[in-house]
Amino acid sequence: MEIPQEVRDYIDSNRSPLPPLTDPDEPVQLDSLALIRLVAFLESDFGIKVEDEELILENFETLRRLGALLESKSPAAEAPELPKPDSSTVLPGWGGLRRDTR
Amino acid sequence: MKTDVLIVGGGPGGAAAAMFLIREGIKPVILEQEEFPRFHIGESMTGEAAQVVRRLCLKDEMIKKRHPIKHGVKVFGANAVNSWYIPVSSRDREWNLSLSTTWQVRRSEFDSMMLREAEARGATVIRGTATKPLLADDSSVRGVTIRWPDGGSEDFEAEIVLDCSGQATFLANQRVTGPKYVGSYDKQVAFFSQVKGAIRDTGTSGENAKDNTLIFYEKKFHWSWFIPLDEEVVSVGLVVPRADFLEKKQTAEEFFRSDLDKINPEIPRRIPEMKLVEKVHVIPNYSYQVRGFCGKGFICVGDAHRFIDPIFSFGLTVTMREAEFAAPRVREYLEGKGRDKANPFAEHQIFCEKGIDNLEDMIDLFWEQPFAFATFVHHRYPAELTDAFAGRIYESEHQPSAAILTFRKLLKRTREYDQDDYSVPIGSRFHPERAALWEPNSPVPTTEEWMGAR
Repeated sequence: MEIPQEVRDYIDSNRSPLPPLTDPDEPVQLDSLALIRLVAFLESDFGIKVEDEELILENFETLRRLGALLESKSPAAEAPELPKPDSSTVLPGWGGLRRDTR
Repeated sequence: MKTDVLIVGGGPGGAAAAMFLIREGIKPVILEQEEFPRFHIGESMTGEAAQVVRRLCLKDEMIKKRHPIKHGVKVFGANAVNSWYIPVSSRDREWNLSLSTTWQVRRSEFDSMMLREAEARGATVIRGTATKPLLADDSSVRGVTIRWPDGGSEDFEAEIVLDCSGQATFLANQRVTGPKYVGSYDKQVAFFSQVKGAIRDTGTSGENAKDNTLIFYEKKFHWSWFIPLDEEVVSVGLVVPRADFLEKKQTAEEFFRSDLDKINPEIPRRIPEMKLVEKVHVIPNYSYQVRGFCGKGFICVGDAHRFIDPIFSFGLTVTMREAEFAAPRVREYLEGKGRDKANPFAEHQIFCEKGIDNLEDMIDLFWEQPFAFATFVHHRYPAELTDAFAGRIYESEHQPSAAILTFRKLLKRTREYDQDDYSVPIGSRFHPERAALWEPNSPVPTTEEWMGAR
């Protein structure tokens, strides 16, 4: 599966101030919280389920590795519905993901 | 001398056990060898630890003492690029999740308050050291031999002994329990002290509340804690593999001063000048698990049977919760229940063990797969993991949750329970080859000897 342009854009914008990625083997260099958001983005916007076992940094190291991961996925239309965690998922005041801007 | 319930150890486990027993109509005797107040580590409470304190009707006392209020835990990732935050939460009777708060406690003060309170409510506190257990012919525990401060000795008989001796693991070292095994985090050493002048956040609630626990993560097995104790003083700890310390050939204080800043760039920002107001304490090899920690005439509580890793501040939680769970079981035993059984407290034992197993799965996954762990905290299972971080780790609290079951899958671990006893395999499950027996007299009997021998 080709890496969707939106995903490439997401990565490039989160890599800032590094230049956009061109080499598929260049390290993506996203921090871990940006990677968590990437997983959330893939799951919510593309219906791609990243399996628990696939949540290792190596799978997100380069565009080539990410492409290989996506390659192994079924097309979005056939994506299975994700198991629902506890209904009270969102806490009021939940700090959530944070990128330190200092 | 004789009593129904003798509690060995007057720390928060012993004091909480005494207060819950008094509610059951039983007035216990607490044996404590140290003069309180005394220094102790383990200063941060979870949400559920605070609930225990509230159930003991000590909330007003806590507010009066102005213990810092903790709204959550903030974990700074390597290089301080990211941080993530877990709020303290609670559940109501309908299991609705809401935000809550808990306390940070200077243990010398908190532990004294707890012991005083237990005494005021009817417990008898005596000063002395338990030197050996008294055993009946069927090997049930029927009391302990006490050494008094003046050097004399006396047998003190009891229907049941609660071992609340903490990391001294009195009954395990006396081989009354099953074997004591080395745990997963036995190759580490913790250094800790208290500093003045540290820079805190300035908020009044939530993520930036000034008295939250901060955890600074560098890499696997290298981390640091920051726990406010009052308006001025902060408890600061440094945990590293002990090999890192040994090769430097420094004193504990030299090492603490030189290596703390290296953990995370956030630390020198928070502690621009290291003004220590407490000596640098050291605890090496702190991870262990005791099998068979309940039996005829005895129950081990909290650290007296198991300690995994200090990373998520579960010490007070586990010991006070186990004390609360034990109290009604002790009353039933005194009333004659289960006396004919090999282990009258088998159900209590497996209940407690399963709770800490859930906690161990969480800690192990945090260390083994930090990226997956952070994804679960923030994306897949935020509610389940706020529960776990708040200390809701027991079967009666919907555990193991989907999150814990996922951790087990990733750790390639199944939890099987040997009838009413313990989980197998025992000890370090991620590295089963390290599940070695802990020998009471070797290789590291005390911190002082270990420090002297290196």
